[in-house]
Amino acid sequence: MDIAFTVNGEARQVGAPETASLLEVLRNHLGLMGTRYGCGLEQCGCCMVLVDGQPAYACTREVGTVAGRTVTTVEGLGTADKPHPLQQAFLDEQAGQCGYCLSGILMSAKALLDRNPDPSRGEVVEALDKHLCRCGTHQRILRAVERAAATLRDGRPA
Amino acid sequence: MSAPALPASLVENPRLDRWIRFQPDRTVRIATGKVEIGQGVVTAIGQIAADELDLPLDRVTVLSGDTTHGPDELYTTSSLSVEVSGGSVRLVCAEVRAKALERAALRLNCSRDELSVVDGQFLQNGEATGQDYWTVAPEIDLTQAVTGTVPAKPAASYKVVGRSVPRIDLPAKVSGAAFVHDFAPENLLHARTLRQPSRGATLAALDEAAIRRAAKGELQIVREANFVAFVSPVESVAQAAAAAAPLHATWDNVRRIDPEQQEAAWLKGQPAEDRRIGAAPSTTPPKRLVQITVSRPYIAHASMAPSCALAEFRDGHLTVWSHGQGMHPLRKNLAAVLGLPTEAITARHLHGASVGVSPKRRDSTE
Repeated sequence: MDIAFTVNGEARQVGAPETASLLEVLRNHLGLMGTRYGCGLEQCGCCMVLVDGQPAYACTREVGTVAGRTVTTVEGLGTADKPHPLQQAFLDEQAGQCGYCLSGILMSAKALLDRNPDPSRGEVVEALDKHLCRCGTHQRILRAVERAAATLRDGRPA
Repeated sequence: MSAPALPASLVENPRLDRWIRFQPDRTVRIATGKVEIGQGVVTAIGQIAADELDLPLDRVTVLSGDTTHGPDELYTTSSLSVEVSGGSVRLVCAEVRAKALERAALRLNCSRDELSVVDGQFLQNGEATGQDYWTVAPEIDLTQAVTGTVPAKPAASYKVVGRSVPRIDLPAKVSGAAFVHDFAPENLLHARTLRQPSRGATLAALDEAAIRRAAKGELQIVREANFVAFVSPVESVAQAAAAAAPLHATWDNVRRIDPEQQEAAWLKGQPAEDRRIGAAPSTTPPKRLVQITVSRPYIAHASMAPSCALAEFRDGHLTVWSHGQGMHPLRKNLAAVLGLPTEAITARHLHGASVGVSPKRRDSTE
């Protein structure tokens, strides 16, 4: 059946079973390959997207439950040519080794900074706790989120 | 004077054109058999080439893991990539730079010593000459074998090496499609395999009808001895089949592993052959001796992502895109498994997830 929802600011309609995973619909129906399949069991965080601004595991989320809602993926942040301040901060800190976990981490970081523009180190750690990185890039990732927070605060009218 | 010993990669791949190519868009393509697994090697090799050729880094592109155009450097392992592949690229670039300067000197009817290289252009006593790598490239025979006799630059003259430059592969990885998993051409068929419960297990029975019911869609089941794959144009159908399959498979010769076997005590109780690694300890008694016994359980070199490969069989030629760590060995293995001549197979590397702490991955040869 047809399911309508907003993806990265655009109204989309997909013909998929309601029980199909949001991840499969994003990747195979909408061609948005930035959201990644890691474990498929809500254990690694590679597939994190925002549903109405809140982090959600796309691997187990049934697409029927996002009907009428707003979904944001890493493609909705920015592009390689015009990166979002978060993406730019990850590049500035070179916060990535293999990079497979990054798009999910970026989405959780986005949700954090949207609700808390000036998080402490502990709050960043807590927000990213559900994400695994097996390369060991954790310290750079934390610095990148803090750098992005500072950039976004500076750009904001006082 | 005898030639210096060449790195193994150059002994196996002596032709210069296996390593370097001047492109019409005024870039230089360097090829390496080593692949990116999160360690930054592709960027590092680009840095080495840029310095040796006097080019800015953005005029260097790096082709990594390509059986058609690149060198065979076996696997990307053991932290050897910069030493072996980087060392090879350095010697190749030094030699090609010398050949290019020789040609330019002939054209300009001057001495080589009057020439310098800036951004790939040849200057004569500091003045522009209109000559550069790309104007003389057609006159350089890159089918020749590397000799290794042209000395590389002294480390003190490096401008790009030793500087921290941004990884060239990261922008794609923070913004969208970047991995082998993300390339989905038209008419793609998805496949998932049935895992053996243990090495050596043999498949006694498989209830294909039950698996088809669970898959709920167009499904092809491929069986070859103990190998089973579920193939469908719809990824979720192949996934559902593979998820249900273990319940409907009966195996013989399954080896059960006792949880005790992961304890250090069990391991120490097994027959062993003791060998010393490194020098014998000094016989002088230490001032203070600290003894400690340390053990840890087995750790899986498990990757963050599922293993993934893409294959296209067209007009008798198989092209495989893989995140494995050695494309030439993969091609050889595929030829043996599929009964195809090696020349009928192309293997190309695309990025995958790594375990970072060690390039030794469970999926390295899959």
